[in-house]
Amino acid sequence: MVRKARAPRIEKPLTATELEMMNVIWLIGPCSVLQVVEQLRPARELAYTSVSTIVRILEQKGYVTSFKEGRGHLYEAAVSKEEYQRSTVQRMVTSVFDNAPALLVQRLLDTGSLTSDDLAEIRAMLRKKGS
Amino acid sequence: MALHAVNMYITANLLLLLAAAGVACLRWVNSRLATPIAFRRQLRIAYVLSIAAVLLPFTTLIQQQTELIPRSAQIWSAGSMRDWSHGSETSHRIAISVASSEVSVPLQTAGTITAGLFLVGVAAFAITLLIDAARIRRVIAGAQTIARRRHLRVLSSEVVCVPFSFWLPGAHFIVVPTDLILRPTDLRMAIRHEAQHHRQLDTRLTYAYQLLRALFFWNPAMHWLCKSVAELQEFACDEVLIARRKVSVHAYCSCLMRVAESAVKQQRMSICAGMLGAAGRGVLKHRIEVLLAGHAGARRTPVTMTLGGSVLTLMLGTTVAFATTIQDRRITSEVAHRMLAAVRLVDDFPLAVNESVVEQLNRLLGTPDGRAFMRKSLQRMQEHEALMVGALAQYGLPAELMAVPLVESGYRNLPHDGHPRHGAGLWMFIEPTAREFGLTVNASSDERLDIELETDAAMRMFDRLHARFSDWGLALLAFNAGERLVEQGIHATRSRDVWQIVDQGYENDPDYVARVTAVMLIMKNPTVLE
Repeated sequence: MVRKARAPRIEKPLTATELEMMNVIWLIGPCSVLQVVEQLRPARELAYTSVSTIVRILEQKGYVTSFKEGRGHLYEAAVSKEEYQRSTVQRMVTSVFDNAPALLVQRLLDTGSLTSDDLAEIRAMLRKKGS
Repeated sequence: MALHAVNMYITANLLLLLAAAGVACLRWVNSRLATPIAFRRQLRIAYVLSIAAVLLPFTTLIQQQTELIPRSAQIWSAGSMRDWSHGSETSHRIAISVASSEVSVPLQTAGTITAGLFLVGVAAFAITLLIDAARIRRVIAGAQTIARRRHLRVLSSEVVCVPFSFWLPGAHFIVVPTDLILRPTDLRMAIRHEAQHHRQLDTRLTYAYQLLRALFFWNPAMHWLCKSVAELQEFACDEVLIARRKVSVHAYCSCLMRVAESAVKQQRMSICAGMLGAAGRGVLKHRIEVLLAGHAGARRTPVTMTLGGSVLTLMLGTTVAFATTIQDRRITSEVAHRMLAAVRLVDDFPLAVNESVVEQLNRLLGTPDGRAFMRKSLQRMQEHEALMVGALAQYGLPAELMAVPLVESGYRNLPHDGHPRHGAGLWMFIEPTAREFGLTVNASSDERLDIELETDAAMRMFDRLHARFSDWGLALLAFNAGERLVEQGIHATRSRDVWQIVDQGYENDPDYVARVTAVMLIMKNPTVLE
């Protein structure tokens, strides 16, 4: 198994379609293009070439790495979902919330979509972080 | 040399107008033909006409100056002989003929304003191009490579809505919007279309056209030509894809429509070829019409050759006719020396060209009224030529002396104006000198106005002066300033060189010897008055 070494970097955000692909890769782990295509079906009918191109773009953006397996390539996430979430929130705090994370939490609470369980979980997390 | 460049620039502008008209004519004729001319052929003709418009002006460098049409503008040393100031460039003027009226403006002002406007225009245009280049750079920096074939790179960008291609030395780029990846058929079509632009060299030629647009930024014909060429490039591209590369017309048109839909918000960039063409959206309808009509373009050699040939001939004629739109009437030292060289071949009268002679030549040839004065005086001289030649031959004097009455009176037999120091007649004898040479001057008769008698007196005077000084330059000076002053000059300067004596201020009328010398040179080179 020959892996192409590439340091993970999150400089360029994902487009909606790219995020769809990443979600599949995060879900099923190292996979081929065909596996991604099949995983997306039947909700999303995409041509093999389209998925292949998008996965290669993901590779250039540093989100996946490829390695040769048999006659084809397998793609593996180079950036974990958590890392991506973290960097996305960070980017959002900087660009949308004027560098004020509290504002983000405030808006999150404002939306009213949080259940009491969610709130309890958040309280627990805050306590843990504070101790 | 600078003037030559300006003349070439003016000619090129006219030729570009003709080239644009030629392309318009070609496209109009094409729209009337049952079997249309292939767009590739039309494009080739547009290229040939553009190249001709740019290169033909250079032929004026080797072409002899011709006077097929009246000059539209002339550069003079000064606006008039009266405004003449010694060797000062501030007095140089350019006279521009517009319809029947003439505008004369100082050359320096006109030159500065024109050059200033030109540079500002070119700079402004260059800046817009640089902004475009920067925008493309940003697009490239944010784009991902989705395919690579030797020198060709296909990039996908999230910020563009319309596929486009551009060329850099050693690299061909095709940039497609990311969304297109999800529509593989459209993506393939777009890449083929853009690759065809590279194959047709459109992406390279666009640099040449943008350069021309910057140089001829103020000429609407240039912008129109660019637009036409860009349109023809798109048509030619469609034509090749459908005819040779077996692309389905319907699928291709649908793709164009979809691209057009997403193109609404895209900014146009000038140095690349877009799938919708640099010409814009209005052409899209026409393109689809042409594609759906399904006529295969024919070579139509007779029509294209006739049209292209006639426009080229017209352009050639224009180049010849407008070779020197602005003519420089100023006399340079080189021109003066050339005039002198022509004289020396046939005569041995001691003539010289120096700074003051060049100045006098400019006064007489480099001002509009100076030239008019010379022309009229030479005409009047012809009336007296027989008499003059006879008198000169009788005394064995050089024919150059015929220049003297031209300087003195312009060959007008002028009566005395009452001023005691002023003369009369062709030779402008003052009273004492006239009497000295046997002419009667009193209240009832003035023999200075008898051309035969006064000319004879002048001949005797020159004969005596030459016998005394043995130098025609000194004799000339003595004729105007008197023998005494010449003697003093020789004594003071210890030189018998008339120019040195004059230089030390030993003269009566300023620059008299220089003026006579200038007139002699003009008389020996009558073509300079044409």
